[in-house]
Formats: sequence, C-alpha cells, structure tokens
Amino acid sequence: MAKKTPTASKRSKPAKRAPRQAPKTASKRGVLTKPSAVASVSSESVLLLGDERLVQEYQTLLTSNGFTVHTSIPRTGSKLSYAIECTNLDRTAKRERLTILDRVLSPDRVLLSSSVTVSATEQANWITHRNRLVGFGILPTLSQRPLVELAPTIHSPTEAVEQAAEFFARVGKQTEVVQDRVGLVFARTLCRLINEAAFALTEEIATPQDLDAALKMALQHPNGPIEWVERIGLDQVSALLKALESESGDARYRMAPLLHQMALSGEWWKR
Amino acid sequence: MFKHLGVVGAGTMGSGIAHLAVLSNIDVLVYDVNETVLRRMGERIKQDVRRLAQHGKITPEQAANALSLLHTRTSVADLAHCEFIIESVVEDIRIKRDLFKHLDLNTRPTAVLATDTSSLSVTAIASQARFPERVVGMHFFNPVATSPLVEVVRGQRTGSKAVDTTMTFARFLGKTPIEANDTPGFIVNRIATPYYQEAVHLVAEHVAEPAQIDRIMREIGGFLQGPLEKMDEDGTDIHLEMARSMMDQYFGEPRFRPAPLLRRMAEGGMLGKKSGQGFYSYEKMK
Repeated sequence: MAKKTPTASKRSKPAKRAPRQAPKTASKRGVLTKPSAVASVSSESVLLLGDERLVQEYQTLLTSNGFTVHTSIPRTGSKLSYAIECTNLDRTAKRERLTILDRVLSPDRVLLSSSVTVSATEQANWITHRNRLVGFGILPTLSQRPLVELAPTIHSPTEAVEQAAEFFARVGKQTEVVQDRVGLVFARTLCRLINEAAFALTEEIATPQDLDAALKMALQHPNGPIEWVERIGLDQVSALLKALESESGDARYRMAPLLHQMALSGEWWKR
Repeated sequence: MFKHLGVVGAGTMGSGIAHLAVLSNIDVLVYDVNETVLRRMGERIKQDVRRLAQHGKITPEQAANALSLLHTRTSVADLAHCEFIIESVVEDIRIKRDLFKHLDLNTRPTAVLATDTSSLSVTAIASQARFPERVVGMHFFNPVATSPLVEVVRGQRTGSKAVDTTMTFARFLGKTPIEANDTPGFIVNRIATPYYQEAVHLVAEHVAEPAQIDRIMREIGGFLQGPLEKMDEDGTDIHLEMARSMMDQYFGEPRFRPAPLLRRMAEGGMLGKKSGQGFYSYEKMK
C-alpha cells in the first residue's frame, strides 16, 4: 500500500501500487507453491492485541483456522501477515497498542482494528501508515458468527478492504461494508435495547427474568436484553454507550444510572 | 374458569381473542357498533375454525361446539351478565375512558374489565370507573392465535383479584402471561422502541442499506428478523405512533423520539408490506 492516498474514497478505483513485497513475505501466494498445501497454509502469523476476552476468542478462532497467533510482539524474524487490534474498553491502551502494531506490521499489510467505540477514521490519525487501517466490529461471544462488519476510512484504498475481506473469508466469515461510525450497526442497535431494559428495571416494570421472557416470546429475540448484557459484558456495553453519547452528543444514548452503577460495582442484578 | 366472556370491538385483535376463547369452550359475546364488521368477523372465525377441523387439528364436534359459542351483539347492554369483559376498540383515550365508565355502570360489580390497549395508560382508562380495582390491562400480541405472550398490566388502582383472574384466564387460553406495571408501552413496546428507532436512524444517516442492517442483525446477533423488515411487516405508521405516544407520555424523553425518516415514510404512504412499499419494495409480489 502506498503511504499517501490523498483523499481516496473507499469506493474509488484502487490506484496501482507496488506489488506486495513478493518473495520474502510468507504471503498466501508464495506459500501455496509449496508441495504440502494443507500444512503450509497454517504458517501465516497474526499479532493480536486488545481486550482480554476478545483476544482469547479471536485467538481460538484464528488458531482453529490454521493461523499462528501471537498475543505479544514476536521475536524478530517472524513475519506477520496480519495485525488485529481489538480494544473496546480503554482508549489510551488502544492507541498504544495500535502504534505498536503499526510499527511491527509491514506497511503493505492491512491493519484491522475494532471500531466499535472509536471510529476507524480517528484511529487512522493515531498511526503512521494510516491508509492501511480498516475498522471492524467485534464484541464478546460473537466471534463464531458467520458475518462481520467492516468500516474502511476515507483513506482506505480498495486493496486494504480486499485484504480485510480476504482475511475474514479465511476464518469463515462474510463481510458487510458499512460507514465508519462509532458502534457500527450491530453494537449501536443492540445497546439501545439493553439500555432501555435497564431504565425499565429501574422503574420496576417487571422482573429481569420477565423482561427477557417477554421479548423472546413476543419478538422471537434470541436473547432477552438482560441475557444480552450477561453475554456481551457490562464493561463493553458501558464503554459503547459512553462512546456513542460523546461522539453524537445525543441524549438518547445516555446510560441508565442502574447500568452505570452496576458497571462501577462490577455486580449484576440478581434477585 | 368463568362461562361468559364479553368482547368489545370486532377488529383484528377482538376477533382473534373471540376465536381463542370459543376454542377454549367459553361462551363469547362480541359487541360492536358496526354490523358489517361483526358479520365479517363471524365469517372469518367460521372459516378459520372449519379449516382447523379440515386439517384435523380439532374434531368436527369441537368445531361445531366452538361456533355455537360465538354470539354477536350490537347493544352493549347485552354484555351485562358477562364475568369477564375485554375491550379492543380504537386506541383513543376518550373513547376508552367513556366505554369503561359505561361498562362499570352496566355490568355486575364482580366482573373483571380488561383493556387490550398497547399504548395507553390502564390507570387513565380506569379513571371514570366506580370500581377501578377491577380494571386491568390484558395486552395480546399479533397474531393473537400464535403469539404466546400476554402482558397483564396492573394499573395504579388495579386490585390483585383482577390481576390474578386475568393471569389465570390467559393461561386457560394457552398463553404465557407476564405481569407488568402500568408504564408507557408496558414491557415489549417500551424496550423495543429505541431499538427500532435506532435502526431507522442508521438508514437515515446512510450508515448502511436496510438490507445490510437486517442481515447484520440476523447473521451477527441471531435475530430471526431484522428490525426494518419487522417494521415493514407491522407497518411504519404503527411504529411511528408507538414512539410518538411513548415520547409524549414521557414528556419528550429523547430515547423515544421517532426518527424523522419514519415520519416522512408514514406521511408518504410508505407504510410497509400493507402499502407495497416501506424500507423494501413489495410491488413484485403482487
């Protein structure tokens, strides 16, 4: 990927670029020329940094799809094919981790970064090779789902999006390219449901169990709102709502005081 | 269980409830001011019950018995002997309040008076009744025949006896009742409204296309339906009214503020499946 693509929109045609550093890299093409294809596909390595739960889940996913996964900077000599940053909780930590990934990953490789609580565009401004950053959606317990959201930035050349899509295809996921906005589609929609359920609990409309049962029965939701929080985690939900509120300035994302308190105390409501 | 059920209003919900009740061997009196609506309801229930018998879901005797239990009336005074009356007339607080005042005066004082309102306050509906403790919410979901949930709503002045009877009655009809307090939208509509409105905001802000949004919710979240296809099915006007009514009842709370695009669609006749165009086009299916 070239270092500067002035304002290439993600939908514009890709500019011709220097080919990927061909023979030295363990690129897919190079590897496939080797005789034992099955074993050698697995030789690509990925560096994964971020929130503990998310790193663990993606580590499992990538390992089962034949990647070699590093969760700390590998020793020199091991060539990385991909780097993935999956921090949703801590902005400062995210910035530090991204800077590291940007430094150790060859500039012609896509840098995938969760853009659930910080937009990909904002993150791209934190790093040197900003063109190659592509945002994606990641929340706990969803790593086995067959689809993932991709959010390229205004700088992302088509090649970066293609590399990202190719990567996710190799771990069994289709991709849906959406605009780069905090929360993307899934997380943003889901957290409105969860937050409203927390307000409803504060008003003691019904018990938590009844809230879950009602939504599952009436709308055939796979989980009730309280079950969703237990799946995704209060820390993630709370980070998401805060990010949406500060990004948009819209009071509709204001976190229910109950959620806020529970997030602080680390407890969940059980009666 | 009691013997005589009164149903006020022969619309979609009213006829669905009557249908359920006669199949559960309860004598049903349906009251509506409009004779045509009553006749149409009678024909629809007859058809549905015969179809159940044809498919072997019930015996011909059960079908005949069910149909013999269905009666229609154009005078509300005929409901005087019913032990349980459920109302599903138009969602207008003045009409419902007057109706309950009338029912309260003209029925036996032990009868339970239930409202199938989805967005109005049970407490407000009961306000003109002499015995507000017997007024309770019994909120069915569409389609009444197959949707398992009934929200049983306890108004500020509703008595425990009315709630208990309504819970028992719902179970008798084969439903799963859940008790809720009388706050705007009760449980399901309350919690789902911000979720639906957020999906409309995503469309309006061009974050993704409607088909992408629905696919993301299905494939990532495991939802059976995406929010936009569901809104098309329910009617965009219905969702607009629901959000508007909740925002009013919460004095302008921004969490319930309808997305302006939804209003534009409803005003433009893009009501969803029923009008052939909503977030998706259904023209080809005709």
